[in-house]
Amino acid sequence: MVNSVAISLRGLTRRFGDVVAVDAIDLDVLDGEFLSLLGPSGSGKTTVLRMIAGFERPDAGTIELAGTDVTMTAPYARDVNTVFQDYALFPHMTVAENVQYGLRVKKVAKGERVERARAALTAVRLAGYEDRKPAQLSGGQRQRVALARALVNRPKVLLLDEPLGALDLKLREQMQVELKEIQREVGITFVFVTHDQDEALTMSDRIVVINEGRIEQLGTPTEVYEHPATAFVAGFVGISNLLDPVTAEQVIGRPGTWSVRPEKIHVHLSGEPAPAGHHHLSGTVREVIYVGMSTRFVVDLPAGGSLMAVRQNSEGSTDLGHLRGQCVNLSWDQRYEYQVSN
Amino acid sequence: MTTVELAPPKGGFGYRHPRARLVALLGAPMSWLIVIYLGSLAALFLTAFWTVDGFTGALVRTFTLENFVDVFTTPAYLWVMARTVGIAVTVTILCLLLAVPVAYFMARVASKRWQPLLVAMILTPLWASYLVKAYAWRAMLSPQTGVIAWFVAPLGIGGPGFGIFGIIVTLTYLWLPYMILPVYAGFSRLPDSMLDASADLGAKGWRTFRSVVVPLIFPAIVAGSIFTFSLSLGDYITAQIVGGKVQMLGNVVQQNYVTNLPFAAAFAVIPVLIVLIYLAAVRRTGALDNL
Repeated sequence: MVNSVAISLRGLTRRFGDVVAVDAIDLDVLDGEFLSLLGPSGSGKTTVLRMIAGFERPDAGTIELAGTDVTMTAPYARDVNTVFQDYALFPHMTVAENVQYGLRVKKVAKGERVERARAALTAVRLAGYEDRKPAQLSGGQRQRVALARALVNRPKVLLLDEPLGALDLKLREQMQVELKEIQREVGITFVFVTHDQDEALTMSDRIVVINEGRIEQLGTPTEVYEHPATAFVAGFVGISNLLDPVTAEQVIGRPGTWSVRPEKIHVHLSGEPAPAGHHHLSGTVREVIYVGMSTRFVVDLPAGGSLMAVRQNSEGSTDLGHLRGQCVNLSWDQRYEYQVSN
Repeated sequence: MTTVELAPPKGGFGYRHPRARLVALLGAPMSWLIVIYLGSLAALFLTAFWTVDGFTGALVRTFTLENFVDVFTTPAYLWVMARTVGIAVTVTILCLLLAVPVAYFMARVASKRWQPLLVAMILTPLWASYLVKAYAWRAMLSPQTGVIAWFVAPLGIGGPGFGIFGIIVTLTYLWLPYMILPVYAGFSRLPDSMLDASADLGAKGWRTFRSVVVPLIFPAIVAGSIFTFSLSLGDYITAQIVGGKVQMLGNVVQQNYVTNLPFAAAFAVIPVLIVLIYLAAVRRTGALDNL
């Protein structure tokens, strides 16, 4: 199935004084996909979102929504809606009034307005909260009202600016799943800004990793995680596990900087040989960190640098603190090593 | 090995006696408020129910409603009340119309560097004496020799002269900063995302202003209006300086307090009542909840 393009950015640039916040970004967002803009704070991801919404005017480049150039169109005339980081619910309106606001502005008849608002609130599991004021809701409920207020307008694209950032961990994980479900139900294109790699990996169809105003990598969660294109992506998505050129030359036999994900590295406790097709090296265990489901080993390499290896605590002894300071063998399947550019 | 039991150090006097701490904090201001402030108000109310002996001019300390009957049945006095309330309302509306764009510019358009400077500029006139400013307006408004008269003379018309127009212009000039500052604070507190959200949901500027901005800065507007309204209501010096023959509530009080203190007191109760009614009305809107 070939998806048509919902948003098309070409050479999109935004400067704040001398700082180039967004540096000539080209990006196509496909119809109906859940796309995450992932990057550290200050990377320009929110600025990209704000330019798509129309709150910021680009200094250069164009924005097309469903094939129409909207670069100079005001926010109120763009068929996108935004869920804000602080939710931006109107405190003087009830939940129902907040959700109906966009429809009222567009002069939708009262009966339809009420009906659509009720449907939207039901979709975010907040039926019955119509008459509350935002101040009477919890953070998670406010977040859902903000979502309903945006979705009720049936926009072509929904923009979400770190909407889960203010929630505690449990609620955030629950909302991640719910958001993804809602997106599948309504079939609207979601552009989701986050600095949380787990969030991006959990929810996205595709991830755009942004750093310093440029796109570092665009790909599915699996591609971005298992085949990071740059050292930045390798470090930002997941735990950075870089083999410097010297070590790489010794172990892999090829030049350049290489990387292996921690969970792909086996720690050989009993000194058995590495299986065929595996690269291996030995090092000294510096740290053993027990994190419940798994145990993390930080292993110092003889030629400098260190690797992290993760071992699932599914079998055998899980009390491995005694390995600290000992020499262990590490190995990994050659298929899981990849070269990164700097 | 011996262990020495050390008692934990005791807290200070204030720590052990939290009530004493409260008295130390609030003693002076509360006695001021109760004795001087409420005391003088109580004296005012009490005096309003007394009378003056017509022959001797001595105070007669017997309870009577005579003064209030006088105040509310004499058409001239009722006109003074109506005129004063009218002036106060007009001044408040003018201050509001001028303050909202200025405060909006200060809080949301001007750069962060300029904001403190603009606030200082708004505050500067408050350093000048009230009398100086009122007399400055006398010089502006004076019928033949005034600046305005001189300015419009080539058009073949005379200046506004002294009167109700002069009072309104001067009071608006005097109290404008008291409206600008709270409204500015209201605009500053308004999160950008509110305006973005409204635009995002399809609202153009005017709609956002009406449905989002005004309701959210309404408490600030009310705060400002309490200043401009009550300050205008109690003013009599401006009326003396630029009012010509026009009298306000305060002028009646001022003219009577030597010869008939109880009547002046009864008249002075009226602006107090009007302000209380105004505050009660404002309270009903819920605007005082967030002050």
